[in-house]
Amino acid sequence: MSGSIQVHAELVQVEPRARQRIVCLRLFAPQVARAARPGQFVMLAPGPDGQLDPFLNRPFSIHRVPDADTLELLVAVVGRGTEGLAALPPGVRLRLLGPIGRGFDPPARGPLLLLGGGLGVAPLFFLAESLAGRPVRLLYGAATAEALVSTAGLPCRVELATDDGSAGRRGLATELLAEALSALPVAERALAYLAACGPEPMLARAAALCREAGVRAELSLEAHMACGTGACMGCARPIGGRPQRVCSEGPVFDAREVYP
Amino acid sequence: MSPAPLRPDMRVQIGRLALKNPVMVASGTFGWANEYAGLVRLDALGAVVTKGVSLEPRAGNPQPRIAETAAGLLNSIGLQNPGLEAFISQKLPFLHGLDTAVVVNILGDTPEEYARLAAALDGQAGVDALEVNISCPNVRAGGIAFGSDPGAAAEVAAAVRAATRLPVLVKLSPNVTDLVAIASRVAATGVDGLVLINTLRGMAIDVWTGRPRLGNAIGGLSGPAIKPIAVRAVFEVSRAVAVPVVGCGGITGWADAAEHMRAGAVAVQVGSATFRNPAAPVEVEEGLERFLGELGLRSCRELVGTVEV
Ligand SMILES: Cc1cc2nc3c(=O)[nH]c(=O)nc-3n(C[C@H](O)[C@H](O)[C@H](O)COP(=O)(O)OP(=O)(O)OC[C@H]3O[C@@H](n4cnc5c(N)ncnc54)[C@H](O)[C@@H]3O)c2cc1C
Ligand SMILES: Cc1cc2nc3c(=O)[nH]c(=O)nc-3n(C[C@H](O)[C@H](O)[C@H](O)COP(=O)(O)O)c2cc1C
Ligand code: FES
Repeated sequence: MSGSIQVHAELVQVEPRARQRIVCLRLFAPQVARAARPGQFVMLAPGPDGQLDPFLNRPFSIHRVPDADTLELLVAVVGRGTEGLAALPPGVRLRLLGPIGRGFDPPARGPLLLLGGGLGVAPLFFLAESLAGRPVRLLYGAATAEALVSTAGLPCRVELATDDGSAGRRGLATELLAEALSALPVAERALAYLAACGPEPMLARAAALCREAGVRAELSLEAHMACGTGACMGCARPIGGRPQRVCSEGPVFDAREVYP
Repeated sequence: MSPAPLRPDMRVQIGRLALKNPVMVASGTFGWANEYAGLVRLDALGAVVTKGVSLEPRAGNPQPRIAETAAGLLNSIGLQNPGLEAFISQKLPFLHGLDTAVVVNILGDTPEEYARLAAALDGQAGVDALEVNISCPNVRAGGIAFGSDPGAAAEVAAAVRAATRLPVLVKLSPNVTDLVAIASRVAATGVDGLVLINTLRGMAIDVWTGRPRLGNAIGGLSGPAIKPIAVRAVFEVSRAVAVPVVGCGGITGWADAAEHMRAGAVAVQVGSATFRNPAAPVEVEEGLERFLGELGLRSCRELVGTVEV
């Protein structure tokens, strides 16, 4: 049995969030917002009821829960579903299923590292906000400054990396991670924790670095999805020696299971 | 004021299988039903049809397994399932507790495997009928799907029929030249009903990378895109055979179900639509009931095969 519910969420606002095509969808969905935990996601219909094409709902991480009634999704416009969503007028009601899946499970104490690559940063905002007051560092990489989403107001230290050096460090976010890990006092490593979301090569590298450093890491994975309920097996892949569903058994998995 | 119209009788009979209403969920699109507990009124369904069960567990195909296409999707799940034993111990108890019929979809590589599955499920509390997926490769005949050869299809149907007392539905593949010929041979084995259609073989390619959009290259097409093919199949087969036909393919709303029934289906299955809206099967049933009421029909059976050609 899933803890998700299906609602008709009202699109309150569509707001650009980077100089590249990234928008923030703000949705009125009180029941889902109240139940949401960082790292969980939603399946959002790409258009109003009755529109049969595009056919499938789209998975999006819960980016922020700015108040108890509202969900924010950070959406990169990359195809026909997200094109359509970004062009919708406020007031439209969209079918939304959520919150879905197993979110992040940070320890109650110890240093916390968050690693986001590209749009993978989306769920880390919600996580950082839920950890306000704790020692959190967000390491955030993107291709260029144009693709970066503003982190202003996040209650944590932020370090940036871009492929072309147009903002922050020139290079990969995993280079920031390597430095952050080696700067951790050895005694603190067993208590430390990494939450990472982004492209798979980045996740693989992060998993390897954390393994070497003896730091527990959790990774948020993606897969093409149909149901988002655990029923269709569309998102299943071998994890921890057996097929696991990214939607219902993830999307967050222990790094040692994903990259044994 | 005119009296409220009588609620139409929604009960249907598919051979020896009695259902409280004609709307089932389609195999592979509803898991083992427990995934939808709390989201959907499961008791409002005419029947739950399980994901395909094989003798041994199957791990399924590589990612990606889902590729959306125009008004539908391709899937190459690869019949991933936990196998017969785990199905009986882990999945069946929940299904048994539901106040709706449970149809177990089975698949194998030889007629003997199908028969062993049928025999093992006979007498299991909670199983009301079997649905035989014959779209699988026939290992003995060099991997050609059982469903694409009339003789092989009938051999599987007869083997299952002989191995169980349960009502047996045979789900036909549309990937054939002469569906009526196959349907007639299968019907003659004494099965309780035919279900049509399963997915159509299809492919999609990413033109930038030059790679197929499914890990397995080829997959099965489903959704609104296939509805006209399914309706045609139901129409042709239901006119040619005496056994009841269950329509499946592209049903997202009550009108699609009504279309299948007018074509000749006594009942329907809702598949991919559940991915967009988990409540779709229940909404199809409610809408169908309202539609029948508006037509002044006393029973959903009165709609079956009413297309005027
Ligand atoms: C758990 C999870 C969380 C996600 N969170 C976010 C997020 O917060 N922000 C964001 O912008 N994107 C996120 N994505 C990716 C997002 O789902 C896709 O970018 C989006 O579905 C693309 O839709 P489209 O119609 O524009 O693209 P198209 O390429 O036209 O989509 C065609 C089909 O492929 C699927 N698809 C395409 N790319 C992906 C992908 N990367 N992952 C999964 N399915 C894909 C679509 O859902 C659709 O079924 C997430 C994916 C998953 C699995
Ligand atoms: C993801 C997925 C998995 C499926 N798995 C099975 C299966 O295990 N056995 C089977 O007989 N049919 C399976 N099917 C086929 C459906 O039961 C149905 O015949 C087909 O999808 C057409 O109906 P639709 O257009 O309503 O989806 C599957 C379909 C999908 C989309
Ligand atoms: S998307 Fe269907 S099982 Fe995960």
